[in-house]
Amino acid sequence: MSVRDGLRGVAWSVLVPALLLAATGVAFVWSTTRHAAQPLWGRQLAFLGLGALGGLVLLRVGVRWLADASSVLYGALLALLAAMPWLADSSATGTERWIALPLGFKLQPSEFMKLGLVLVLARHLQHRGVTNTWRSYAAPFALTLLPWWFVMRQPDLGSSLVLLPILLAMVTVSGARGRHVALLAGGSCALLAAAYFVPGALHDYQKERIDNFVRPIPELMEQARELHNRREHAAAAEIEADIQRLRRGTGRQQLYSVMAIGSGGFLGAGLGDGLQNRPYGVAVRHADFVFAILGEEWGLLGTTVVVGLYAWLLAAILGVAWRTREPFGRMLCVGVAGLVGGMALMNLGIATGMLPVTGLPLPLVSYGGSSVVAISLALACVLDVARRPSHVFFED
Amino acid sequence: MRQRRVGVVLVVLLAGLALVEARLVRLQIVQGDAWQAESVRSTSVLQTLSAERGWILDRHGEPLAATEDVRDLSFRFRDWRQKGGAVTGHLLSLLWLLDGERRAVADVHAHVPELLDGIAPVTVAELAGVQPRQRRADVLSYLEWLLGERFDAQLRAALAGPATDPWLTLAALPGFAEGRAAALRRALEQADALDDLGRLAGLSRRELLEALDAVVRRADARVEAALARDAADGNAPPDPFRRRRELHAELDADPAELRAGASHDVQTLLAVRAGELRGFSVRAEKRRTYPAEWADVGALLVGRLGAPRDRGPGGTPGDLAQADVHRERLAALTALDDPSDAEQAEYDRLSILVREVDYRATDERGLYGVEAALEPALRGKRGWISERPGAASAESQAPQRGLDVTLTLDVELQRAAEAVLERALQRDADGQPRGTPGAIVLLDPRSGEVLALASAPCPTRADLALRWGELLADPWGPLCQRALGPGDSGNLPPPGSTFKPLEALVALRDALITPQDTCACAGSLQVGGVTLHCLGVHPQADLRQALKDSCNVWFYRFATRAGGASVLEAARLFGYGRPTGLLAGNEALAGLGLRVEAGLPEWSVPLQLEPPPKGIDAMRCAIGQQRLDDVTPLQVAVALGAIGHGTLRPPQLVRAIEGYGEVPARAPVDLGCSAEHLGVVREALGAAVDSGTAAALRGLLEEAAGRHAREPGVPRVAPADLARLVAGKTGTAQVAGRARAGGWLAQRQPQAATQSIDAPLPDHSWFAGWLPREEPCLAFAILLEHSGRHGGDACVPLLADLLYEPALQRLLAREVSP
Repeated sequence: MSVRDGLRGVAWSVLVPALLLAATGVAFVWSTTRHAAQPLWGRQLAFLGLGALGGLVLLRVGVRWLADASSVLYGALLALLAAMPWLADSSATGTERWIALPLGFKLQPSEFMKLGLVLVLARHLQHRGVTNTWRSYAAPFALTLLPWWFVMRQPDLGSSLVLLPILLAMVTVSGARGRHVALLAGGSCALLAAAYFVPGALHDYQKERIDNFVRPIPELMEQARELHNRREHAAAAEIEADIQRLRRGTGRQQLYSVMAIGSGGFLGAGLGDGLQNRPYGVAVRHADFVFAILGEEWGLLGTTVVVGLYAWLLAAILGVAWRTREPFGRMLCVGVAGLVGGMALMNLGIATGMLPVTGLPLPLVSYGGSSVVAISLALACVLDVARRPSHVFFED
Repeated sequence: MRQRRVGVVLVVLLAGLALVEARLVRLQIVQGDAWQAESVRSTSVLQTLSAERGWILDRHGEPLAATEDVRDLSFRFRDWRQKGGAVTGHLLSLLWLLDGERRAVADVHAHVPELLDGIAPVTVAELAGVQPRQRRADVLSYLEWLLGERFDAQLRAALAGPATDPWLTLAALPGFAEGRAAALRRALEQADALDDLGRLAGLSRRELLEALDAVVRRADARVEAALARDAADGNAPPDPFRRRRELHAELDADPAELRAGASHDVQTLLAVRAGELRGFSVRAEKRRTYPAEWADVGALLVGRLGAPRDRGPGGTPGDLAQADVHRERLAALTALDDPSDAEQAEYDRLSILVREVDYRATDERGLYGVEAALEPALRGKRGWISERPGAASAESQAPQRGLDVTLTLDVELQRAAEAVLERALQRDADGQPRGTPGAIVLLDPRSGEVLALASAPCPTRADLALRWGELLADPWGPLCQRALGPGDSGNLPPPGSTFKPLEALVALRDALITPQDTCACAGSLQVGGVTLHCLGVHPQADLRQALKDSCNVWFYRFATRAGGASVLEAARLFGYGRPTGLLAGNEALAGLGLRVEAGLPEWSVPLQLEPPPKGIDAMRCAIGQQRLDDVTPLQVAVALGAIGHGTLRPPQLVRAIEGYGEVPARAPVDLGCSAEHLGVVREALGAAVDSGTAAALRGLLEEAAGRHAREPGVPRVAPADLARLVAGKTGTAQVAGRARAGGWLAQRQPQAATQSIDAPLPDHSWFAGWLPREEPCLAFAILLEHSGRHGGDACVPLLADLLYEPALQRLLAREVSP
């Protein structure tokens, strides 16, 4: 296929926002790591390049092949996840999330597992779909629960939770009834809430994060301000004492993230000039909390553009899902939308203080090789589906 | 249908993004300014610069309290044990992390090779099992700093690798041997540098290591105390290890003083061998010093410094609590979006207070004496530097030096007076006094300026600094300022017969008596069923003789004639029963706008003027007892000085304050007496010294002249001439009651502590007056507590001793024309 043929049929509406987000990511990895011992923006570019390469390979190979291989891929990734306790390099943080690669790189299988789940669910749901019977839910549920368990155990609550929006999105589109979806969503939340009270289910620091969410420091600070302005200084002082206590714990991360975003105002401080863009400012500011620095340095203008880019990207992916007649492709695109949208919404929610803190990258923007490559592959799948809207893979 | 479902998913996702957008608008636009301010606040670093304290000088400019630049050798535990620090430090912390036991610095220092060998058999599996993970990370950091990067890389690979033999020991890892050798080499170099440091700082190796150990243990204790405080507040941290680590990181960075006064050589050594002596530094500081020449003179008067008070005077909040209150109020005002003008003004005022004035936990403040009373002036204002990362320049303000205070005190006269009182204590071979405590006040009656305020026994400068607790418990009450307040009994003495000239003068002025009024004294007077006594028998005594010989019966009749009201009026006119306003309540100082705090115990007991005493009560008042039984030696000196000079000049202790200039004179009190009346009383008091109750002075002066060495170049006044210069009144004050349990009087006379409260205690003795008789330049009051003797017997010898002190001789040479 010639280059021109290849370029014809490219879903620009998917590619353009993705490239813009990726460029934003590189800019902010530069901004947050330029003074560090090792500036990482070059690596991020390399990861993006790797992802693009993988995407091109995938486009060459075609989604059909992926569909055939979905069970194998899923199984392999699951096995990899199961073996993490033995394979992982836990020396730095005590968690078993990464496999150490030569040259100091790290591979995070959970990122690829998300795509693997999308593939296997798409294969499963493409024709059968979900009906009113509970039995029809069993397989999708089981397929989600297994990787969820392994990822949760690492521990990596954030990545494990992203599997839920994927499941919900795909199950919705494949025909689940509204109340079943609602039940599924509500039930998961209830389970999570219950996990808080089961001893040993959540680590102490995870429970602390939920505590901080229920009494978020930014909200408390707002309350104190209001009380001061109503001249009720004694009551305000009590709340401020609480804040001092909470600040000592993990509430600090979210407080600084919200503070950085809020201080951006309308125009922001300028790329690289954020006050909290420093070692004792926002935590993990090149990866999980990159949106905080984005908010501080580009202001409301920048954050709205980024939110808009995600909206555009998701609309484009779902647009592909809408137009295609290929059932696997449709489920695949919906799954990718669930993946990207779920990750984006969760990360943005955490950074702005609307959700309890869990560690989770912002797709395409956060620094991180595995995430970038996995998302690139996912988007490549979408592009491939977009190329052949009327092509149906499987007659069933 | 499935297509529509796709729309549902899109709507849900877009709704989520819309919620995020709404939140962003709220954070960045609605709350934007508040977050901006908070962000700036969280990155600003405020560094304070301490101010130099003002000096305290005597009237001739002699420094009583000064500040000097001091260079101390200081030690930062955190820098010493962390990256680039000492091998001993790394090992100390590594072992503490591994087994929780804090070893002595000296032990670790002496056994570095053995301890390194002790870590060698630790297995990788054991290390991997160290919990929590932060502790494991710290252990790995210390191992890296100890044994090098190559070893560290090998260790991390072994920890990460899947195929690691669980029995693999650290010693077996490549890089251990060379890391150990390098560590030993470094340890030797550091030990050598440490020995040099000890030598230059005047510390043996053992002393230096023990000093380091003390710092380490203090740091541990502070961390434990902070954790205990957390637990008591109900804030037990979810992760105790992390909290402990945080506390250590914060508290271990404080510099600890190892050795005061580090020489220039020490500084040079630290510069040259910086790599091996990480954690040690020389800190320059301004410190309050009390120059050795005058350090022990008037130590109680000058006062001392200490940590900020837990409680203010009269139940007001302590210094740090006050600072907290200001800080909280400032935080509340900062939060206001729309402050009123009053609130804005309060904010501006509080900002300055919190930044420059309020006390911090590490500050020193005057706790006693002039240091405390004039603390606001002496203290100065802190400076500060406010830095923000990324800001072009730092805002700063230089510290404002405290104001120098010049007292009216003459330190040589003070020393002379203290020496005389100390001799009067007649300490035996064990240092136990056989005499009694007392006070001497010397002032200039022309201006009211106080020249000496001596009290005995009094503490030395070292005692004040180091033995405060012992001083408090001392039965002799060395912390009592007997010139201004009560002795250890807690009661002020009555003026006794020294009151007689005062009431006589006022009665003459009011034409209630004449100098010729006579009465016959048979040694006692019967009134009702009560016998009132006199000191002697005085047939046909007039006013002059009554004053000269201190006839009580004359004054009993005087009380009946002049009336109790006149007696009390005399007390009121001469300032008895009211605070003297030496420092606190001094309207001249207040008029300058100077805030004076409590520092010197200026006592007064209010005089009850209504209803006027009658009968026996009036008679007892007339001899300076009963209602009139609370005066201070300062008040007596002022009163007698007023008679000598003609007008009453209220006493003044502060002569000048830097920046304010000289303290204006306080308003004199016009006695309203004619020169003739004053002349009568003055003449009588001169006669008291010539031939009356103080007639022994001349003989005592001759003895004193023989005892004291003659000062070269200073003309000496002959004893006979000197005796003719002095005018004064002796006094014997009767006291009743119970001696303080555990006090010196109770120890000397045990029955005095358990007797009835009406039972008598040994009398107090007084001698007060002025010299020279015409145009006095010096007024004096001498008190000996519970001496049990007459004023003429007990106190007049002290005056004789005092007048031949070199300082007094010089004063006389200056002021008195021969």
